[in-house]
Amino acid sequence: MPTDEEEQVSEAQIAVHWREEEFYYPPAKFIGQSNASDPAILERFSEENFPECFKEYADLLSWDHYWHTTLDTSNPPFWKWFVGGKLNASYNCVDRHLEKNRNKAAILWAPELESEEIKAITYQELYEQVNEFAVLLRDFCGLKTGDRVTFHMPMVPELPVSMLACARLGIIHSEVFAGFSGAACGGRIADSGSHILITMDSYYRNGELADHKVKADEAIVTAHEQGFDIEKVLVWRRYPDRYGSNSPMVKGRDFFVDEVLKDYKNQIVSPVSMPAEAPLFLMYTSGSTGKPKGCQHSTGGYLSYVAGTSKYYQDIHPEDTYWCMADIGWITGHSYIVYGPLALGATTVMFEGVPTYPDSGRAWRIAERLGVNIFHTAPTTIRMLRKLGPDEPKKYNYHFKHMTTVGEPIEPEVWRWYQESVGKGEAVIVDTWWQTENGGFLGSTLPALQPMKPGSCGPGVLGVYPVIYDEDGNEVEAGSGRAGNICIRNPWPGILQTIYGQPERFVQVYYEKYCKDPKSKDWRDWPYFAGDGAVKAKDGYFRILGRVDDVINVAGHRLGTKELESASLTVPEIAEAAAVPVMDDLRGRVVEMYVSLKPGNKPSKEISDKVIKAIETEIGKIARPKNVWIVQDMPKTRSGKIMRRVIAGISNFTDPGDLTTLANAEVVESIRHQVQREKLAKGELPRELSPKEVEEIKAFGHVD
Amino acid sequence: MWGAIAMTWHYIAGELSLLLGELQEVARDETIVREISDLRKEAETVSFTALANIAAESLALANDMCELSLAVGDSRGFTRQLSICNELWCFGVSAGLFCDD
Repeated sequence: MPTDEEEQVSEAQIAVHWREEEFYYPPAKFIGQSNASDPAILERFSEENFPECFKEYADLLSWDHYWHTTLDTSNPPFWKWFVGGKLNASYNCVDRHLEKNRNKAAILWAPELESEEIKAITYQELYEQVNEFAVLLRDFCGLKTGDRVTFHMPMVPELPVSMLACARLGIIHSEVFAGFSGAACGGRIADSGSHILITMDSYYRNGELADHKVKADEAIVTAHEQGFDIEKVLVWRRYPDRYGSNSPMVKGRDFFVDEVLKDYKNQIVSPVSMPAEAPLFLMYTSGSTGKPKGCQHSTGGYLSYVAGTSKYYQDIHPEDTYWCMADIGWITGHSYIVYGPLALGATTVMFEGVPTYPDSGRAWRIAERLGVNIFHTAPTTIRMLRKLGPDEPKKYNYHFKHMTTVGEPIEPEVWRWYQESVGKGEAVIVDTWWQTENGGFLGSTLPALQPMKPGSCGPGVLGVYPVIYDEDGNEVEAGSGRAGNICIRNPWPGILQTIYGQPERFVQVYYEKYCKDPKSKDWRDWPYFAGDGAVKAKDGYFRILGRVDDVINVAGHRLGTKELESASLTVPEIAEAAAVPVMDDLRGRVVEMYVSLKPGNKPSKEISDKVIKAIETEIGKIARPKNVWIVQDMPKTRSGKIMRRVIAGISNFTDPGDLTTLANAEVVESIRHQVQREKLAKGELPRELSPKEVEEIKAFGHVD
Repeated sequence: MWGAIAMTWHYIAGELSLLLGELQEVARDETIVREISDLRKEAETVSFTALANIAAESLALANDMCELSLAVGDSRGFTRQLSICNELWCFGVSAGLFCDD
C-alpha cells in the first residue's frame, strides 16, 4: 500500500492546479421568480427526511395509482422507487397538458438551413402525432409492452414523437446517437434485442444533406453478425414523399413512416398504466471492453427526478422557452430536452444542426428569434463558440435568465465569458455534474439559493449526499485540498436500475469498490461509485477533476501515457512499460519509453524496434517515441507503482526528486548512468529547463 | 486512476465518430477508408483517455488526404477535406483533445 506521505503528495499535486474562485450571486430579479427561493427546501431534502423527501418530486407527476413504498431496499443495490405506483410517461409529458395548454408550443424545431421555416408543434399536435405513431408501432410492427426498439435518429421532432409513442405503450426505447456508425448501432440492437429499427433517411449537418439510411443497412449486418435480426426498419423522411438517401429500400423490411402512417390517421391509443419501476429506456455508454453498457432507466423514479431537477435546478416554468443545445442521443437530451421540460409543460427547443453553421452567430440568432430565456449546453460547445465568435452574442437581442453548463469542468475564464458575454451579466449559471447512469444532476447549485463559483459544480443536489473516498475507503475531508473518488452515499430516484442484461457487471462497476457489507440491506452500506475524481472545498462545493491520466503534449497532440504503455505491452517480451515526456525545442515534448523485459529475454535493438512499431500501429506515428530505454528494473514504490517522475527527471537531466519512498532506490543510479551516457553519446545534449518545465517534470505521474 | 467524465466522454466520442464518418465519405484511397473505419470503431468503443490519440491520428489522416488531393489536382476534394480538417482541429481544441499552442 502507498504510504500516507506518498498519497498526500500526489493528491495535493492535483489540487494545486485548482485555484479557488470567488462566489457570484444571482440577480434579485431572478430570485424573485425562482421556483426554489425559500431556503426551507434544503431542510426538506436533508438526510433526516430521506427518502420521503422525493415525494415532492413525484408529486409533480400525475399518477394512476400512488405508491405504497417510497424506496424498497430489499435487494441492494437494485433499488426500487415508488413501489406500487403506476403512471405513464407519455401521458405525463403530453396528455395532461392539453386541458390548459392545448395550443401552446411543446416543441420548437429549428432546422439547420435558415431558409427553412421553424416548426412549432403544439401539445395538441404532439398528442396526435404520438398517438398515431403509437398505433403504428402496436398494429403494424406488433410491438407490445416490454419490447425494445432501437432508434438511430438525428435531431428532428420525429425523435421525441417516437420516444413518447414507445412510452405510451410501455415499449423500451434505445436511442443511438445519429453521428455514430451503423456498426455501433448494430451492436446496440443486438444487445437490447430490438426487432425494430427506427431511423431517418437524411438530415442536415454543416449545410449538407447527410445520407443517414445507409447506416441502417450497416447496423443490420452488424446485428446479424452478432446473432440478432431486425424484422422491420421504419424510415422517417426529412421531406415526406422525397427520399433523401442513396440506400435502396428493402422490400418487406424497410418502410417509409409517412406512407404507413396514412393508415393510422387520427387514431388514438390509451396510455398503458406502467408500474413505477418498469423500464422506460436504455441509454448505452461505451465500454472499454468493447461491449457497450445499456443503462436501464425506470419510469416513475426517472421521470420524477428529471421533473424535479428541471423545476428546481433549470428553474423551468410553464411559460419559459427552454433550449438545451445538446443531442437527444445523449442522456442530457433525454432528460433535459424531452422528459424533464415536457413533464413540466414547458416549450422545449430542438436544433437540427451545428451551432457554428453557417457562422458562429447561429445559436444566438435562434435564441433571439424564439425568445429563449433558459439556455443549456456543454463546455466543449461553449469553448467552440467563444473561439469562433467571442463577440457574437452582443449582436443579438436575446435575454437569458438562466444558463446551464453540463458534463465536464469548465475553466473559470470560459465560465466568465459565458456569464458576461453569452449571459450579458443578467443570467444565473448552473454548473452541473452527473453521468449517463444518473438520470439527472448530482452536483449543482440551486440557482436562487446557492451562489455560483466558477470551476465548481456546487454541492450535492437536493436529496443527494456525495462523499469523497480515498482508495482505501477513508473519507477525504472537505477543505483538505486532497482529491479522491467522488461517491454518492444514498440511492436517488434517477439512478439506473441495472446494466441491461448484465446485473453482475452493474454491481461490480458501481458498487463493489466501496460496499461496506455485501449482505446488508441498508442503503448506507452501498455507496455509489461514480468513477470521477473530485476535490471538496471547505464550503462543500465540489470540483470535478477532468484529468484521468497523464498526458504528454507532442506538437499539440495530447497522448495518454496509459495508451502508450498499453501499446508497448503488446510486445511479448515486455514486462513493464512507462512513458515520460522529454522537453523538445521543436515539438514541445517528445515521448521516451522505459521498458523492462520478461525473464529470459535480453535487451536488443530488435525489441526496441518492436516497441516503436507497436506504438505506431496502436496509436500512430505522432506517438513514435524518441528513445526506448530497456532497463533492468523500474524505480517503484513499496506498493509497486512505477515512479514516473523519477525516470522523467533522468530523461530530462533534472533532479529526480525525493527517492526515500522508493522500494528499490538503487536502480535509479544505474538507470541514470545508462540513459544519460547514451544520450550524451548520441549528441542529445541537455538544455537548461525553465522553472515551469522543471515543475512539470516533478509533477509528472501524479495521477498514479 | 480515475474514470472519465463519462457524459462528456460520450458526447466527445460521438462527435469524433461523426467527423470521422464525414472524412470517410470524402476519402478516395481504399487504405485510408479502412484506416478511418478502424479509427471510428475505436472512437465508439475505447476509453476516454484514448480519444486524444484517435483525434491526433484522424488529423494526420486528414492531412494525408489533403496532400493526396493536391497531388492529383482534386481541388474540390481538397476543399472538403480541409474543411473537415478544420472542424476536427477546432472541435479537438475545444474538447481538450489538442492543445491550442
